[in-house]
Amino acid sequence: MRASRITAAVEELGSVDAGFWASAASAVVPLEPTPMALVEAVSPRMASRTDHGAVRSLRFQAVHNRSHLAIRVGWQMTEANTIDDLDQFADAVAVMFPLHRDAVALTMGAAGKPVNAWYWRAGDSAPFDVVAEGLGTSSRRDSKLTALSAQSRHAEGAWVVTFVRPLVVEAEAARFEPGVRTGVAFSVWDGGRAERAAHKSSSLVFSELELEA
Amino acid sequence: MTYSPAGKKSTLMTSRRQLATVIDLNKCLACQTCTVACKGLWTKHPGAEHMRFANVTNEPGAGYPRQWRKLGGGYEGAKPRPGRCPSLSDYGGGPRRFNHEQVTRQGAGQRAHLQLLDSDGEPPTWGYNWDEEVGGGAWPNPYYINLPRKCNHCSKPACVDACPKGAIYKRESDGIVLIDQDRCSGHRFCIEACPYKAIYFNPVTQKSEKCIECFPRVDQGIAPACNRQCIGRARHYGYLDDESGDVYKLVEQWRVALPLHPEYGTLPNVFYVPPLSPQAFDPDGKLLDEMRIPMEHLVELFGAEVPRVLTTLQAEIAKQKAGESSELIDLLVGRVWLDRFGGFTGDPAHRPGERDE
Repeated sequence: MRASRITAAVEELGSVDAGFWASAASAVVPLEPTPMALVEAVSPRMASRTDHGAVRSLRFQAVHNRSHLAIRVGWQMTEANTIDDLDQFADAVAVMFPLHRDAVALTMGAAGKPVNAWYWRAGDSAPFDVVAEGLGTSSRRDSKLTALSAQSRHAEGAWVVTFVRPLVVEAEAARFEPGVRTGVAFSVWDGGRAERAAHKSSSLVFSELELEA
Repeated sequence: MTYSPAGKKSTLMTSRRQLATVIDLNKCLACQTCTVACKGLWTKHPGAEHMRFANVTNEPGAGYPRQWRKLGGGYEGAKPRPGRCPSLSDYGGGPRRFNHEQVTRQGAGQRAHLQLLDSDGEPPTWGYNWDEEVGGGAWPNPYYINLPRKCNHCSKPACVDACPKGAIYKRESDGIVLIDQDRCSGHRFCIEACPYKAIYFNPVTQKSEKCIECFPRVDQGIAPACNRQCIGRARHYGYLDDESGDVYKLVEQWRVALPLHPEYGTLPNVFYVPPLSPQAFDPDGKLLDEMRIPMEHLVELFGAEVPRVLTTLQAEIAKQKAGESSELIDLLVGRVWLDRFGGFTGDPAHRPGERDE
């Protein structure tokens, strides 16, 4: 997968409707239910339910302007789900990058092999920047720490979400460089099916993402 | 080992010692002093309006949250029993308001009467203690039981087991179950898992909250507010293994205090002295030698040990009436108020700063 280099202001990069998205390359990423055997030790209760993972694909696009990377993801979701009551759950999406060359996407990294994710949830005012070193270890950080922002739109039975972040930030987080490849993985949560945590659809492995030089 | 975020489940779920509460249902008045004592201390902040970490409802009845027993959780053998989260309406909805404006300023004073309205502006159709004193049984033998509840700080806490973030843990020193608010992601597996529905979701912080057993008090030798404020002197507190304390004596020595719904499998640490029953009447108003509260109902609540406990209580009462002394009855009467708190006898009024809150 490729993030084309374009000329655009940072404010424009984050727009879900910006004109450049129409011509940016897109990839369809297949998603699968997260295997519950992985989380037996983390939460036997979560592992005992296996009706998750209904969303089976996500459309991915990315561009950069030499200073910021923008990622746009979209997936089918008939109704938008937000936390409007105590027993309701929200739709969400995360884009994950390795912080270590041997980090595994399926387990969200491991001790000493961390991963970094951008997490957006319907109804929240800002996304979270997440770091993890294995399932159950994820830590949500304020998006201001990495100047991460997100915009979203739900229309015609589908979500479109864009994330924008500077290529390089001071905090321990993914770093991007034009001409250099990194890994990228995806997760989608269907709030209407009470999906959260490892109850999700996931790309399971890192795909390659190259930023155009 | 002390708590480490996302630590090993087995470590998070165990403690060296265990604090426990015993509540004598023969003495609970359902005065809600425990409810209010807790509310005023811990659930006044935004998003906590629906929360009552301590609450008292009537048995039989819908309880709080509504029909909590039908919401699942706990264990079936070794396996987690499926559960679900209550909705806001199951707690009685959001804060209610009087229609002062309508009656006093909108000229409707002759048509509308002053009434309490739900947060959606409609007259309430359910709420906390909506069915108070409705109870069960049929004429001439209706009955109800006051059932005070709070987090059981279980020895096999399903909430800790369920949390995928490793954000819930038992304090190593005393078994108090706490949610690390920094780590909680509001996934609510804990709420599904708790068969007592003693964990609450805060829609403002998007995190889960629960009874903290007044640990800032406990750390200073002060009993939790619900126990200390109980005007019926129905509550005893202390370490389960403190042989000199009321809790040990009532739970382990006299074995008259039983956990609520032991079949849920979480090994709860709030124990109840089951209620003795008024005698039943026959239709002519003649007293019968039968309990008014059906034994099946008490067994359903507190397990198969209830008949044995009631027999013990009756025997000890008979001893006392015959002029003999009964250690058990002395314990339950508790003539010296502070004796019942297992050494947690500190006075919160003497804690610097607390008066200012």
